Amino acid sequence: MLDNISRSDTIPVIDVQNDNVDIGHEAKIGRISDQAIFYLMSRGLKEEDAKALIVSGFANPIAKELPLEYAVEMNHLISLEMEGTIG
Amino acid sequence: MKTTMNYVNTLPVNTWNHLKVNESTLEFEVPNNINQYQSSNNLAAISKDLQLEGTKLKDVKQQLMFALKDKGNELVDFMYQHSNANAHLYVTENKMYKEPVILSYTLDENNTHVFDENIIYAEEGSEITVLLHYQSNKTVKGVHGSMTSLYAKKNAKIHLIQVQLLNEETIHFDHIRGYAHEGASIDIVQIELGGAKNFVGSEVVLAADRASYDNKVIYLGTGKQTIDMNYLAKHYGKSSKSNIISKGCLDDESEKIFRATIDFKRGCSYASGAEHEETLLLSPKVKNKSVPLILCGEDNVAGAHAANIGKLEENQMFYLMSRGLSELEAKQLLILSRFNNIYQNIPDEIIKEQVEHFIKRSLYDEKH
Repeated sequence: MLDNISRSDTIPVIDVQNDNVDIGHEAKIGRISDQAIFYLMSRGLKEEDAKALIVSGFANPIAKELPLEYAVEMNHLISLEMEGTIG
Repeated sequence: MKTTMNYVNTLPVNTWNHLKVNESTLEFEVPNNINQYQSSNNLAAISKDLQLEGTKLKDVKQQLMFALKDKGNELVDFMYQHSNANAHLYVTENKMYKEPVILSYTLDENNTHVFDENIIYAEEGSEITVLLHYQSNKTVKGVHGSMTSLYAKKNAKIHLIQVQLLNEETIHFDHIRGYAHEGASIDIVQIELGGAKNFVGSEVVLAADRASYDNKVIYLGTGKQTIDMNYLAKHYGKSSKSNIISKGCLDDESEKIFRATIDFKRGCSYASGAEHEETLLLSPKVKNKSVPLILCGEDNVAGAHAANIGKLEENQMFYLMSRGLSELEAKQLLILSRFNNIYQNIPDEIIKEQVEHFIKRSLYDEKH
């Protein structure tokens, strides 16, 4: 969650009708760690850039499955979205 | 007289209707005249200084209705109209009760329908533990309903333990509603092992800063039992905490729905909520549905949920059986060990043994 006006509703449903299964499900909701932002800003990044970097890192496991040109475009879009949205 | 409640255990936010988890329907027969449930043991368990009655009771009921805003809720209205057993406890300011208050209800030929309506009101800085124990005779085909309202004022602590060991013919429903003020804590342990159709749940409002709510539940489904659960933690206060843990086993043709919702309202900064569910599936005919929700209207919070569903580990079974245990004994041991850290919270050794015996017997009966 990156600001105090957004809202997130997570409604997963797991329906199991067979015993020979092994299902795990997990979800976490929170904001970007203040310590992570502090670390990056202390290395010279602006707050916006630090948050954009962390969000890109968050999406990285998905992005690296995409063809290169799409991954580059996705990272570029994340940076554009993050500009001016923080605070 | 047939009673039907169409909106029991409703999800705070609906999902796809075809999944059939948005709400449940509860139906049962109620005789025109219900006997008042008399128990001298229960009367003796509540000392004079704990009793809540008269105008104070009326004030407290109004406070609860105003705080919880559930007027018009079918189940709440039904319990207020039809309850035939009541335990209303008032704990004065800074009073700590070390010994648990133990109330037992038994369904038998004279009491086939028991609807207990309980209130535990804890003033500032006080602490109390209440154990509610439900059982029934083997042959009785009855209905048991319970509604417990918990109101914890500033820094108060309420510990509620419920043990349900009803027979396989009884319909059981249980609703807990709680309200916690600043720094207060509400801890609930629910052990749901019996009953034919079970509808259980709780809704706790963490109204002020640093309020906390902890709910641990264990359940066992055998035969054609159905277990329908709904737990809701509403965070309004800053730094409020909630923790919902559910561990259970499903065997034969049992069915279960587990709904757990952590609702972070706007303004509850630094709040944290966690839901954790573990389910063992012991038969190919069981049906399991899990609906763990996190509703988040505040950014500065931490919410997490996890669900783990599967069979008994074959390695563990093999290990125990190679040491001389039969398959049944190994299964009983593994299941009891999973439940152990929850039912160890029962503050009565006899009831604890009854729980262990009930679990072993339930797992034994279906095979013999």
